[in-house]
Amino acid sequence: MFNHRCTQMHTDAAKLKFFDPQKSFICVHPCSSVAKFIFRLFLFCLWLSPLAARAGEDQLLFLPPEPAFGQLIGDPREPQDNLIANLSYPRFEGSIGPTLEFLQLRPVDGSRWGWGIMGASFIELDSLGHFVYPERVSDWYLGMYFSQSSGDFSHRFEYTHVSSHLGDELFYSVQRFIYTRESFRWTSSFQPSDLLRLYAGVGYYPHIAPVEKPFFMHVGLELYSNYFDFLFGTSARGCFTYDLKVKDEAGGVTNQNFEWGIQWKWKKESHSAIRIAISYYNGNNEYGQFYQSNDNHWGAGIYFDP
Amino acid sequence: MGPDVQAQEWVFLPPAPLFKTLIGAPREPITGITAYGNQTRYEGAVGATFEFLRYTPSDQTQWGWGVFGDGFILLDEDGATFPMRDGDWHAGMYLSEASGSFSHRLEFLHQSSHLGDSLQGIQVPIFFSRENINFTSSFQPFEELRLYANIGDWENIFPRGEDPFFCSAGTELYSPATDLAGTFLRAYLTADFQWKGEAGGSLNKNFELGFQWKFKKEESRDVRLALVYYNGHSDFGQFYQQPDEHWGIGFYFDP
Repeated sequence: MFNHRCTQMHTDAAKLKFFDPQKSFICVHPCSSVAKFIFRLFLFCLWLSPLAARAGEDQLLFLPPEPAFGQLIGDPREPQDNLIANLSYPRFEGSIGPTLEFLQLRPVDGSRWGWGIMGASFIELDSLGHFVYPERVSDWYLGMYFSQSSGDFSHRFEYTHVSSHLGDELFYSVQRFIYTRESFRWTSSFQPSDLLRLYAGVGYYPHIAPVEKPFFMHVGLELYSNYFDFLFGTSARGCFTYDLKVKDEAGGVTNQNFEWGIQWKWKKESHSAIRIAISYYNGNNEYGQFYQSNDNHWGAGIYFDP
Repeated sequence: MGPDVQAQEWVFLPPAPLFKTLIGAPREPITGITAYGNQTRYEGAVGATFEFLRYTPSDQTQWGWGVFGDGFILLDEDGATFPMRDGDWHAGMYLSEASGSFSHRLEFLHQSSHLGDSLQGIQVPIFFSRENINFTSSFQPFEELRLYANIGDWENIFPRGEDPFFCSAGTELYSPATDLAGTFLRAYLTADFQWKGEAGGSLNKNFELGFQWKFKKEESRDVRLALVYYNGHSDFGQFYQQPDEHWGIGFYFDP
């Protein structure tokens, strides 16, 4: 099996200008996925200059239009743009979350390697009527990632800072506390077809305040229907997502998020999409200021996927 | 919604908005971080613009319709922690048009401002919530120069009793581009002047001097690094009656 892989990698490697199939180190590193990853990262750094694409060879793109690792649309804490009406309580949630991939390496073997940053802000509002929506809490995320995709598989390694801030509506009823964390997280995704995506990940908080157990795990899936013709010649498809997070914090937490909806695109190969979905969340609250509280609610949301 | 007899075209969810971001206006939907130089404070911004439809009729004008949202956060620094002083949120919808060197944007915008929790028990939050309609015209006769002007009125304004009128004007100046390893790099200078009727009237000035870096000239996505100088009343709603003068270094990402 390993011999076969080695042969295969040589075949691929021979296409790359950077690789010399005669050199022995090439024989070793493809057999280890970790070594391969590190080696690719090294190559990635070497390739910072020149940044321009070269036809017929590896390409290095600066600010590519799409990240190598596709957004996990079912994860409620993935950077995203949305507006969600809470159907169980008179509340609304909003989120703005851009992802900016700085560099993307596209070797001729078809894989993609990305490096970028992401930021996101999540806000929860009460609804008091008469168009008054006081803020309960806001969470802010800022992070950096490396990602890789090849065939049906893609991976992302990220470092993220999170802080959570009590909303001014609750200043007279709730005492805020300092909620700030930094995490490392690895996520792997498998998408064997346009209809199915599975993902799983593990994470660790090297710094966590308030002090809690720092491990968490993450799995989920995305299921899609076939595309169908929608309004005015556009394309749409049904989608269902399930996202599960298991965290060590607060004595052990299991957060589940379900979404049923429709994804609407210009053309089926387009990246940008609008999603309208019904969601159900059960677990501890995702907002840091309430992370020890139970949260169980239905929602209806509109999501803007860049 | 597809191409129609070579005369007009509708595009659903185009990749970039028709009306280009005003990079020198401090409350455009941008993503970035600014470190103040004369105070131990930081500003963060996350912003997104999502254009639903682009219409190109046979007269070669272009029309766009979309939504936008952004969040701005003001942080103090206390060692390794960054207590929050203020968070402002904007969400809105726009119609835009472009033809030749001119482009225009009509916006409806909601803004709310929330006192940061580090000031809990220290300062009393005010109820700050507003909606305005504003119109912006931009003129870009050539690559190195863009001029713009904006006028608007707050239709609903809390705290009550403030003068709802505001207007602004500004410019973007760009140097000739340099080829940096096959990418597009140029220097830029922006000046933005905004007059607000609120709080007795204030003229807010924002200047940026920096670099803009793109993969290719024609792409909208860029990274910017700039020196920033701001003088006027605070742009953060909870402090809108207070003067604010700061300079800083900012790192920005335009979609």
